[in-house]
Amino acid sequence: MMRFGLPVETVSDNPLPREILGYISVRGPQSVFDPAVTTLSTAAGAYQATPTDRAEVSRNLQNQGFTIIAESPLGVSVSGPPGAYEDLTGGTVVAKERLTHGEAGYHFYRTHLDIIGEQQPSVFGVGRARSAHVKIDGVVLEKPHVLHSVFPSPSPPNSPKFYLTVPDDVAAILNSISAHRSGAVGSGVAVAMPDTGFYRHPFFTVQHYEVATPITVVPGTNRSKDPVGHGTGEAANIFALAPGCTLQPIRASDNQGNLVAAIAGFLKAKEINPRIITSSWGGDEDYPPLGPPNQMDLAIAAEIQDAIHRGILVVFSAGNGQFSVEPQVPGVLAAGGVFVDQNGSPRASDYASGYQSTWFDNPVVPTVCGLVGMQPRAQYLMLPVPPGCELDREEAGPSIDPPDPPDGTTADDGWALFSGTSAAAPQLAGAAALLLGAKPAMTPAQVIEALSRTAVDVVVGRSFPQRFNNPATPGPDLATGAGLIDVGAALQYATGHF
Amino acid sequence: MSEQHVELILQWEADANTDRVRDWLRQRGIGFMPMQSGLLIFGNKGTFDQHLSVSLDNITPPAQIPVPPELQNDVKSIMLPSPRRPYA
Repeated sequence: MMRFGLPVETVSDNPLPREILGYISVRGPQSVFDPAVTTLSTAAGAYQATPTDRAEVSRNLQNQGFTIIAESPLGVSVSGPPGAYEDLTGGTVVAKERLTHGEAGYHFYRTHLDIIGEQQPSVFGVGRARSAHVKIDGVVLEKPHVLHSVFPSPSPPNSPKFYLTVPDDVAAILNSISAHRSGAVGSGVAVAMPDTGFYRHPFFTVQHYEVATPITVVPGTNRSKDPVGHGTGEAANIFALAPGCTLQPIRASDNQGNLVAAIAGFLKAKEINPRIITSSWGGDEDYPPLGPPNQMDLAIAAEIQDAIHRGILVVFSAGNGQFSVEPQVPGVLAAGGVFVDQNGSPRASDYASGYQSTWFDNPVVPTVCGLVGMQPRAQYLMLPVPPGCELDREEAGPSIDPPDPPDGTTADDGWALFSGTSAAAPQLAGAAALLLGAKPAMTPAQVIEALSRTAVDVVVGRSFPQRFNNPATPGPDLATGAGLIDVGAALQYATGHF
Repeated sequence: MSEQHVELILQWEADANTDRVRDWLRQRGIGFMPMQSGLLIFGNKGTFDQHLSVSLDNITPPAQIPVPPELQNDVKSIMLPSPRRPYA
């Protein structure tokens, strides 16, 4: 079964359940688990085990940590932790998403469990006991009856608003398509992204993007969920420019989706030592600042600086009108916003922060820009999100103050129109991954140099007028930094200079 | 509210006995990760309210909170950073 090019089986980020229901067949005169058997024996009692063997098997299973739920002359229905199944079979219990028919003709990915290993049968969900002495001829894991998720389309819906798609529009405007055609896709480059979470939307599956199982840093949260949809949607921006990179999502949100562990998420990202960390979040402090950075800001800045010293390229969003320490740290690639309209004309996004820092060595925030929408809501990029998540619901509704019509999608279709410098940071991270894939020896400073020296100068518009109001002017400026990134030109620059 | 996850930044005194502080945190079920100048400590709000002798509900971040007497020889400050939010 294939639908929209979706594979029958794909990676599951769902953790294994604590208890797995299964069926364990006690060996009788014949076995349905013999690979040569394709039909049922009609002989009475062909599969029935002796009472002595059944009793022995039940006793051994209980000693191994299984709970006996029901017994029959052929076998036992059990419940046990994954480790008990692994001890019994010598295999490994894994979760996989399998495409299944659902209600009303729809298709869904559901989480299934399998036992894998050298000695294990190839039949999905079936295992073989490690030893023939245990009088067990087959282990079957129960198929799930609980829906994992509704099935969002891997293709975006239309919207009456002007918007850009991922990957095509973003890749075209930021000029990465020729680089992709030449084979520069960011292969082998690991990008870590602490955010609200990551949901394995079929969009990522059908595009064959490589996403590692998410890591969580808030106890009690599910690594396969993203209640807000922010981490999921913004991640698509990375792959628009670096379709061959590997993303490591780090969920730093609580069960309501609040980003309560952003600093821990950043520290966790450093621990896994990726080439790039991209962060689409920050705080908001007084502007102009009332004084130098406080001890908290300095503690966070020291962590960022340490990552840069260790050779990690650190990308932070400039902010959507906010002023925060992270993008100001020297050596950070600070991501600002440029809006490109229907005619292809660029202007500084009035949704994005742009200023000269009075902290550290007075860096300009942003360094360079990605694609960001305009006020009031910057509904600009059609991005995949978990169906019914916060962004799916909010963007599908109108904004009253300031007035803004809905994004034209539904509240539970798994797609939403949004942006912000949250989108620019992963775009810059994708561009950097593409460069590092082609030129792995480049330092973070060299990547920033290549992106800055080749950026398209933006001369129209102003940064967030209510707070910064800096104009875009010929040459580097406080609204857009060096301008809008040009990935193809940056790759040429990198090839020629490093 | 007491279940709400919170992260705080703890900074060392010079010559701090860091093992002693780590043990103190561990015994109280407070998680930690090393930082350049101290520790990121985290856990649910109820745990901090119980062991830091101050209710975090009454504090507006960013703010310093009192260091428990047992840790005062080793810990210079404990700070509640301002909240971080997605920029979308």
